[in-house]
Amino acid sequence: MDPITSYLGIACLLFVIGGIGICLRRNAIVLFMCVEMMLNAVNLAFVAFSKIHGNLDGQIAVFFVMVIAAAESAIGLAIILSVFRSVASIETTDAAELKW
Amino acid sequence: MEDIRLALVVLIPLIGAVVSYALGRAAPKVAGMFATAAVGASFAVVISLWRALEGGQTFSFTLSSWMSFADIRLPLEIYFDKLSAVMCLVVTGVGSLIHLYSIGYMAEDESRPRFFSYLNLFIAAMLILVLGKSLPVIFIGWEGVGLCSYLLIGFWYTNPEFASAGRKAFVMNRIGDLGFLVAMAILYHACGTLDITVLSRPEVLARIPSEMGFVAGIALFLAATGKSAQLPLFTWLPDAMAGPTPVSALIHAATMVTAGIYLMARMFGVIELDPMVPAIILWTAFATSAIAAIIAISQNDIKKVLAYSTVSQLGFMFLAVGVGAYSVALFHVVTHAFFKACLFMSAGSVIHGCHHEQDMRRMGGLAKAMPLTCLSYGAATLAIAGIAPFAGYFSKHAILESLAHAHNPYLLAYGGLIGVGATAIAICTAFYMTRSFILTFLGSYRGEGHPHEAPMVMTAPVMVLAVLSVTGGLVLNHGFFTYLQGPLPPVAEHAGGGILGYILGSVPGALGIAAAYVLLVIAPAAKEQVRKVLWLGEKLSAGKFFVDELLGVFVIAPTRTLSGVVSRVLDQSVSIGTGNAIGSISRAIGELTCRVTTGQVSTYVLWMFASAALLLYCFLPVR
Amino acid sequence: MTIPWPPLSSLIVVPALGALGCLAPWFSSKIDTRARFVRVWALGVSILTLVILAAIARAATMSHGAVLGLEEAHQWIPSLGITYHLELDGLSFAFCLLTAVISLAVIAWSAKPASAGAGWYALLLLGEATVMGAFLATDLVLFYIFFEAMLLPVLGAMALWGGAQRLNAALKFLIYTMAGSSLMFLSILYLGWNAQAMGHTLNGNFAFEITTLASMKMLNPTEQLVLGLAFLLAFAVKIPIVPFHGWLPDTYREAPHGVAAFTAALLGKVGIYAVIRFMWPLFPHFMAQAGPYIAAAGAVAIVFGALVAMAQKDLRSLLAYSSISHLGFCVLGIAGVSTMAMTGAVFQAVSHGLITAALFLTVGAIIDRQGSRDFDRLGGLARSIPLTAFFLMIFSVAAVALPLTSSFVGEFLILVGAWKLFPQWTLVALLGVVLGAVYTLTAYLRTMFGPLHATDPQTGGDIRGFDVVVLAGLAAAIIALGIFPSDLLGMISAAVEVSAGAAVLADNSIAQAFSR
Repeated sequence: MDPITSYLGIACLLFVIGGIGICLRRNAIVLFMCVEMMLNAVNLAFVAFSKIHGNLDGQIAVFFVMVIAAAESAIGLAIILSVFRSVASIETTDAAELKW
Repeated sequence: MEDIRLALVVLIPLIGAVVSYALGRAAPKVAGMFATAAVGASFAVVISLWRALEGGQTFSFTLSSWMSFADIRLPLEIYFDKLSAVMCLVVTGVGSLIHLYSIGYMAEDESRPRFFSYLNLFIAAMLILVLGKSLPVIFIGWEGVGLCSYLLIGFWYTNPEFASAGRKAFVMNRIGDLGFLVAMAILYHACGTLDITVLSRPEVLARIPSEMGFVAGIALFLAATGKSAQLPLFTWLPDAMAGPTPVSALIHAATMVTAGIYLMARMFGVIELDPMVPAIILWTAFATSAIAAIIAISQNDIKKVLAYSTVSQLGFMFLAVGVGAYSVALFHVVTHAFFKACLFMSAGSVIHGCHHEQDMRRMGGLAKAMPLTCLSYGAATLAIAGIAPFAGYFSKHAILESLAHAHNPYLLAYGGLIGVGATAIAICTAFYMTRSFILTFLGSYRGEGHPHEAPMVMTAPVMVLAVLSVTGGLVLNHGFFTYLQGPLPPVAEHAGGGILGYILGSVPGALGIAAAYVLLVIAPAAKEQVRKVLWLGEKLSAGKFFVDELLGVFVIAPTRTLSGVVSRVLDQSVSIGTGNAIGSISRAIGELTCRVTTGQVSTYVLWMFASAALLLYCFLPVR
Repeated sequence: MTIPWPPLSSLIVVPALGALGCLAPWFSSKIDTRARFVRVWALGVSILTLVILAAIARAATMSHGAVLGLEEAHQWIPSLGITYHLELDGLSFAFCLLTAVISLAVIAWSAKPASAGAGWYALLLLGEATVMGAFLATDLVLFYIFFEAMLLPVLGAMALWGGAQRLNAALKFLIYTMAGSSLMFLSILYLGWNAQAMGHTLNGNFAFEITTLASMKMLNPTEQLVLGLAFLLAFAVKIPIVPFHGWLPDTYREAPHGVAAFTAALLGKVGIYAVIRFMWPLFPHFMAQAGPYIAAAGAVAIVFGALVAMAQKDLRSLLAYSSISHLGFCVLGIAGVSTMAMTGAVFQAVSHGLITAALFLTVGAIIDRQGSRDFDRLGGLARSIPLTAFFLMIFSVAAVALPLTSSFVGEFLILVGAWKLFPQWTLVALLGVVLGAVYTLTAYLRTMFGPLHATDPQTGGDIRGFDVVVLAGLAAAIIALGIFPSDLLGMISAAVEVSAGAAVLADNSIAQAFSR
């Protein structure tokens, strides 16, 4: 198999693992990690495509994704902390106050 | 001719209504005097206007442009001609006497200011009624007197029965008002105006299509049946006796209830468009008059006797209307105002003297205790019985005579029958009035306490009316019909004169009086015999012909049921139910689709992935 | 005539700014003083609005006579052909006057929900502004915006300060009216698009201005039928015409007294107004065809409302259904091409606004002070609260259309005017006149007459102070309009003739055939 295609394969695998994790798990931290995993899968795909096309567009996009992922984890963890403070749990099923 | 005095006639009692209430709040005694003075002043103005009427001259005054706009002309205008003059003189003249009387009658009532305010308001409304230049203006007065009647019948409103009697009167009058409104609609569209001076012109009336002529005439008569208590809308009048006695005298005997006759006389052109209408009026009037007279025989409440007697006498007036003898009907209106007001006020004095006892079975022998009242009641009884030369004789005789001249294609041969029947009613009238006189004033006192004569302020006006009941007919008999020949069609001048004529004409009345005297005083035993023979009549009489019951079963109960059904079924179940059902269905659908959104992030993500996969499958070019 | 100043906008802007002013914190920090200041401020604003309206009308009658005919037009969203176009003719004037008077009365009325503060006055002034806007706008989109916006203050006040079931009632009201008007909005869009498609507009753009649209006469009968039905549905819900009245009993029962008075007096009137202002010029053919059905609906509503009112034991419900009955007369009046009936309908709408608001306020005073709204728990109050009884009597006889009250003028003109075209429905309507007397007098009898009810708490006294002035003012207006209606009638009829003029011309032959 073409080494670059195998990168894409791994990216795909990571993405699916992350997606399945989001679907199955209830723990907010784990959900968060799954999201990070999916983002990194995309990053890997970007880098791979950048290599295929021979330009740096993909690499630039990766930086954007990383910045956003960092911001997201900062805000997300803060939310999780405050949720934990009010409901004493980080299970998503427990924080159902806003559900109508 | 415009004349400001005409406005004063109406405005003085209107202002009186406000001022007498305001003054009365501070000093209750003043209320009555001020109110009486207001009506008296109005009477004086009417006299000055009446004396200024010469030949065909009339007065008018525009108070407001009212419902005039674009090309529609419906001003608030009042108008004074000979017909209005007659009515105005009766209303303010008899009205001021009754006001005076009320000062004594209501002396101990703490709501006097309210009473006199209503009474003055009534006079103002009644004057608008008889002065209105167009049908809508007459309608102002028409409804105004209805309102005052409602307020005064229910004057002692803490008694729910009295208050209900007021409501009954108002609602029954409203049924009649439908007719008034329909007539106005028809006449307006056919003739383009509602001005009574225009509507009396034959060339204007000719524009009314023939089938509409019948409807308009009947509609006007329906209005009159409500106000003037004719079949089938007469049952409110006996109930209206719940009001204070001066009210019964003023509103429910002398003035308001004759408004129907006035309307018929004013609109005689419309009434006569279709000869079927006078025929219907004649039959209705006859039936009402007969039924009321029969009911009056078995009444024991002195005011109820007079109330049914009023209904019966109003029927007599309509008999004259039915044969086109409008000025004769008006004549009876005038004499009836004299003797019936006199009767009611005497009855009021009796009630006052017997400590608010109205049942004649607990009276008797009052001739000694209250001689003046006895005298006036007696004179008025003779007048209503139709004994010459008392006032009632002339008007009643004129009615009977005009019945003989009746010529209406729909009456066929029955015209004579009505004449005979009317004579029988006249006998009946004399009978029950004599009965009430005997029960009240002769024999020995059967009640409790000591009856006493009424004070001067009450007896004086009663005596004035008694004098009028005695002489009124004789004085007016000559000029009256010719006087009204301008606004009303001429009537055949009756022979009537001569001592022999008087004696013959008094026979029906004398028969009735004699019969009553025989049955009640000379041979009371015979009474039971008569009762047995006339058992059916007695049943009907005592049951008041079951008119109230029939109305209850066929009108009121179905309306109530309908109201309940419409409210529960059509409104709650159908209209609102459908709306609510649509709401519930939407909500159910919403709740069903709501299941999709579980609130679990994982479910949403799964949906997202599934949808993304579907999109990719559909749109990605798979080779 | 297009006037530079004072523009008609001030009738909308002044109360709207007044509403904002109510919420401003600059009055005072103390709650009590602040409440008093806000009340005075709101009163001042509503009086100012009334004065402005009177001044504008006076200036206009001086120059134009009964026609008035003031306009104010600005571009608003040119790319969509939406204009900011206001017009004050006799028709609008009658309703704007009603709006100003009723707003003033409701604001001046001292009784308001206990928890209501500055927001109460802010919402009422906002209500005044939006209703004014609806009565002035001649651009359909602008009208639609006001038509929907006027719901918000009412709904807000109801949801905040209403009875126990207030949220349900508010939701129901909202859903009913939105369901009604959504189709109208689509129709408005179609009208604008159609104008462009037919190439009739000046710059090849959409057009929503009523005179422009009406003058084009571009709708074929089918379009008129579909669009007309959509418009009619919106107004049938708003007026309301039976059977689209499902929202009304709940709303009138749950809303605070002042809001109920405001709603009953004004919101439904927009429907009456809009039928004359928009439907007759836009869909003359449809209206001519639908006339008999509309008349029938009006007559049925009169009898239906009266019959249901007879079965009520709750004073507020009775008022609600009597309102349906009285508005039936307006519906009967706007059904046919008859200046008399249509003018009468507008006049009746104004008169009903005054009377029904007065009744809601008076009844509210009774309910608040006696602690009950049920006949069976009231009675004999005429002795304990004579002044309230006096006013209730005046408004009751006005409600049963006794002559010399304003409602007689309206009902008389409607009945006589409609007789020519729809005698059968007029007869049905007349039955309502009798039934009206029955339920009105029964209600009066049960509350005011008879012995004092034994279990009556008798906590409250008579109305007093400013409230007496409010009721006396309304009573004076009702009687004044009953005795001197001709000026207002003249203004209304001039506008009505212009508005329904096209239809009148088109169907004159029918009318003549009837009169012959």
